[in-house]
Amino acid sequence: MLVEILALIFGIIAGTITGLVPGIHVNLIAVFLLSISPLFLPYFSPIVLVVFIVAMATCHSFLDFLPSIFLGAPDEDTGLSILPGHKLLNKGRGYEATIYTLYGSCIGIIIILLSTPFFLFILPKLYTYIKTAMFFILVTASFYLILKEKKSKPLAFIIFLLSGFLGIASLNLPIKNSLLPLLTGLFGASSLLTSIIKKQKIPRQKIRSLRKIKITKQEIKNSSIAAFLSAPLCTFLPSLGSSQAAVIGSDITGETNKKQFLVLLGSINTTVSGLAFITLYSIKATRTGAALAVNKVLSSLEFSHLLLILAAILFSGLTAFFLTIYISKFVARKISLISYQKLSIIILSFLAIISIVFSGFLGLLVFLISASTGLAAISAGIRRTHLMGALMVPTILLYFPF
Amino acid sequence: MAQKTLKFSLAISFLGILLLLLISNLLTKEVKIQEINENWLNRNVKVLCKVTEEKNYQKFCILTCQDKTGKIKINFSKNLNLINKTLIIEGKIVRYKGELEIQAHEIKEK
Repeated sequence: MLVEILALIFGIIAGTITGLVPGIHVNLIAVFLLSISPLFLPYFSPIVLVVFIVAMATCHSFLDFLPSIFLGAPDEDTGLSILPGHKLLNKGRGYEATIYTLYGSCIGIIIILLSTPFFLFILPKLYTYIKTAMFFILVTASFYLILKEKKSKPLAFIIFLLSGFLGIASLNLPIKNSLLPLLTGLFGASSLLTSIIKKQKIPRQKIRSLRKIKITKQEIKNSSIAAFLSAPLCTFLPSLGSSQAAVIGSDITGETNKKQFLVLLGSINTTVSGLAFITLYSIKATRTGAALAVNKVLSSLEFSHLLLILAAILFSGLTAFFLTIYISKFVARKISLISYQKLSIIILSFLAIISIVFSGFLGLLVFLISASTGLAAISAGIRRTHLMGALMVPTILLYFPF
Repeated sequence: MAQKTLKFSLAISFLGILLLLLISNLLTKEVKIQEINENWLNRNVKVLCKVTEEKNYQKFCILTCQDKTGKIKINFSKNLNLINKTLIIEGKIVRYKGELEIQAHEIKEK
């Protein structure tokens, strides 16, 4: 038991690092862990590694809004947070924006616990039918999101298709970790480029106590319902990301303000992260890199393992909540003292170097072209969910039934 | 400014994607045997595996190769003596008598 507790603590530390450092995703660490697992498995039970991965993934889902809001460097799950988050940051309310996502992540933990019975007892019976109709579900979801675009539907469709071809090309290149430069370029680099071009300056941030960061019961209720209905979709529909679920969810409950949208994003992000392990147990589908790593480490996932996973999610979520408050206060105090443009250049260079280290120079090429595609979406003023065509189009082709 | 950035980034994106599609067709991706399925039919792949069986015929040979994830048959247009050797094999995924196999165009020893 002591070893499992240590694994939990180290997982929380790892999740904090992956959440805060732009471009380093928990999936990357999970894949790395898998490659070195033969070194640990002679000494530790595989469940120890599983606890580490679960704690890391849960903690990451709480913290990864920080780089999105304060640094303008989101990943594919937090991409939509950048607009409401950045608007609040520019008003000196970046800390407040983080707290809303944190409330959402806490709601996400509750949704995981409430959804688990459905995933254990009902989903396995429905999944065969869902798999048969997967192509049509994904095509419908894609067109729904394009038709819901307020700015320009033709441009949204063009960006979706361009991203789709980009995804097909990148996934077929002989490079390792092709998703890293692809998604980092589309979401992270493009946002940073925009900040550099606009020569953004961040005003002094206000840090208010939690009691003064108010959200009404109705706002919480709307966001919770939206997350409860849309987040589980991401766990068994491949390539449907948190940002797309957030758009679908907010459409279900009607018009959402910035606060509600940030709460919604936070809850979906954590829900997807946690439910991915439940989905692994119930329908043997691996929806996230972390779940895939758990699947490879454990020869079979038993019910007792599932209970341990749920306990790890609860404990690491609780710890991550307080960690995020502490870290975001620190960042909020310091961010206005730094030249934002220089910081953006440093982070952009860091992401480019990461792409080269993990995917080679061909990966850098993917990174640059993805950044250009992401920049096109930002310049067009359309929702960045359409950039998820990079994953949706290859997945749709995979399920093409004819 | 936004219009200029949009046109410029769309142009770079479009040309870049064409370049990547061209490169992905020219270069071959290394895969694990377990990953090879119907979706790979008629596509070029590269596998790293060990020869566990070899049958030489007049003008070709059939190798059974294995990596950590699975086994697959390789069809090559020469007679070779490669049993127990670890090879890097490049070829196209084809179907023969209902089973997927690799029609190799290049075999190198690791």
